[in-house]
Amino acid sequence: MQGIAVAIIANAAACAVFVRAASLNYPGGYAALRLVEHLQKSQPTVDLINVHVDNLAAQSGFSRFSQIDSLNNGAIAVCFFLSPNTNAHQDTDTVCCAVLKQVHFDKTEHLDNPGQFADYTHLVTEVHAVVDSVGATHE
Amino acid sequence: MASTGPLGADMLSPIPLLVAMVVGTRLTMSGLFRHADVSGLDLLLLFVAWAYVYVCPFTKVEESFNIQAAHDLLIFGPVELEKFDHFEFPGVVPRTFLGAIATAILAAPFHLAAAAHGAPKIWALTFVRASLAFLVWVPLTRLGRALGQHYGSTTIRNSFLLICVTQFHFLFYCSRPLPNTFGLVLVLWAYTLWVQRKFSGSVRLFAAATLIFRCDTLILCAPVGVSMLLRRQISFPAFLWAAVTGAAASVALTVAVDSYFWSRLIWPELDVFWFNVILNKSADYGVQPLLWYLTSALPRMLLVSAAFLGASLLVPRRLWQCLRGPGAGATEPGDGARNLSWELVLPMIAFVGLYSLLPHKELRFILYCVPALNAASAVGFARALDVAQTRGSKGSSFLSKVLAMFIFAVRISSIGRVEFAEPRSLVLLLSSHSAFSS
Repeated sequence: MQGIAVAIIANAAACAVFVRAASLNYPGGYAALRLVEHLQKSQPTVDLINVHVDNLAAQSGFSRFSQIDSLNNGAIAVCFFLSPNTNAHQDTDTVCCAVLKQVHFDKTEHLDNPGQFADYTHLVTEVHAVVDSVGATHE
Repeated sequence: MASTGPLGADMLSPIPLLVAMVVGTRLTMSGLFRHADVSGLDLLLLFVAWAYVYVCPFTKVEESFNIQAAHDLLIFGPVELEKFDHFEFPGVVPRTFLGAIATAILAAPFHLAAAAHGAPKIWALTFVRASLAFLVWVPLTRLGRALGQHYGSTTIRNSFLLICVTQFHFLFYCSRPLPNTFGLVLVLWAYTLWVQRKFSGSVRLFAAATLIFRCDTLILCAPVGVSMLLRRQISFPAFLWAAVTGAAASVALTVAVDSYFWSRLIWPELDVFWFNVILNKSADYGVQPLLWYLTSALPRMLLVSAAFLGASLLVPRRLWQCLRGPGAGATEPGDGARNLSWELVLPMIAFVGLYSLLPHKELRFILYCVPALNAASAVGFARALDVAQTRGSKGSSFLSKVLAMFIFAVRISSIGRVEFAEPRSLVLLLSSHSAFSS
């Protein structure tokens, strides 16, 4: 009986290790969440927000579910949650219409030339890719 | 940023998961499945699969086609095809929309309710993956029930569920929208009919899984079909008739639906077959050693349960009787029925063996063998449990010592192989133009 119990517990313990390892495997997904959160907080002044998503991010959790079309969608959702009474909702509705901004996502691969990054307002990218290209511009 | 939970505190609370659990349980226990015989262990499987969705809500590149298709079906509906991802970023090979359609239909009510309350779109991803887990879970519980009925033993049914719920990969993969997972839904129904001795239906479902979702399922179907024919469980004309009718219905369905979504006459798995088998580019994605499935993938997927598989296949009935001791009364679990273990396992050995010949190996390719191996392991597990119970729970029996050693060995070997994510973290560079032009 003990042996069988140990077997089940050992399996479950291994599951815990595996699921922890698996949860660390989606950096692109978390980067996308942080980007959307940042856009909603910072309300950038440019008219078109142009985001580049690099290969690793696109492969490790960044999907269309992470994208937003324009900034007011997210803003309505956030405001609505903060103050669910009807008056506040109407207020935020008008505010959000005023700050409507388009958000565009681009997954073009092989951006080798650092100059190509200039078209984007935001990048979701690997650490060393950025360090390399910034280094290249400074040389 | 407060990121205590996997999705950050304010982005995704456990509320949708809890709501889904309550609603799912309600539907399962009453209403929809009133006569379906769903046990508490069955529900535990579903909740564990959903917990994995909550902890790892995102998807990887292999899941890309199906998750983008599910997104487009949910957000744009099946009419505005020009907005769909497969036209904007066409992949190398076309895939079928049937799997994405099934999950999108299941997820739609939850998505619409959440969206009406202003929830962020990312919630819909959780609903889609939870729906897929549900689609796999239904036939998985039917397989457990069929095993219980075949052996006339609830212990064997519960052993099967307990083995499945304590292995990681199978339940983790059952919510990942891979073509293999959609194939798995049909393969699990096929296994259920196989155990129920309904061979024609089983052959039809194997044909559907192969022709709609994954053409490589043929490597599984061939040994299972040969086993059925050699054991004279189905006559050759009946086998051929089942295969042809199953194939015709599947091809008609996939061509009709996918030609609409791809806007051209298409049978996606035929293109996949052409690209992967005739042109065979798979070696470009990496090469593994011949025995990789046996030495790496299977130990990780089966974990300690491999010991019970051995007990099920190799310990003869007489030894079980000896172990139970004299005067134990009654018979051991599954004594009244024919032991299906070898019948289930032999085709899986052929399946994994054939797949080992392909140099490029991935764990998901042999996922189909896990439920069949677990079905065999359940007999050994139930009998070991029976032995332990009849001998009293002193824990000093020879068998429990052997099992403990097995456990130790398998546990050490599998934990050593955990592949952690490469420590390449992504940085989100929030920049103005000046950061690059200076």
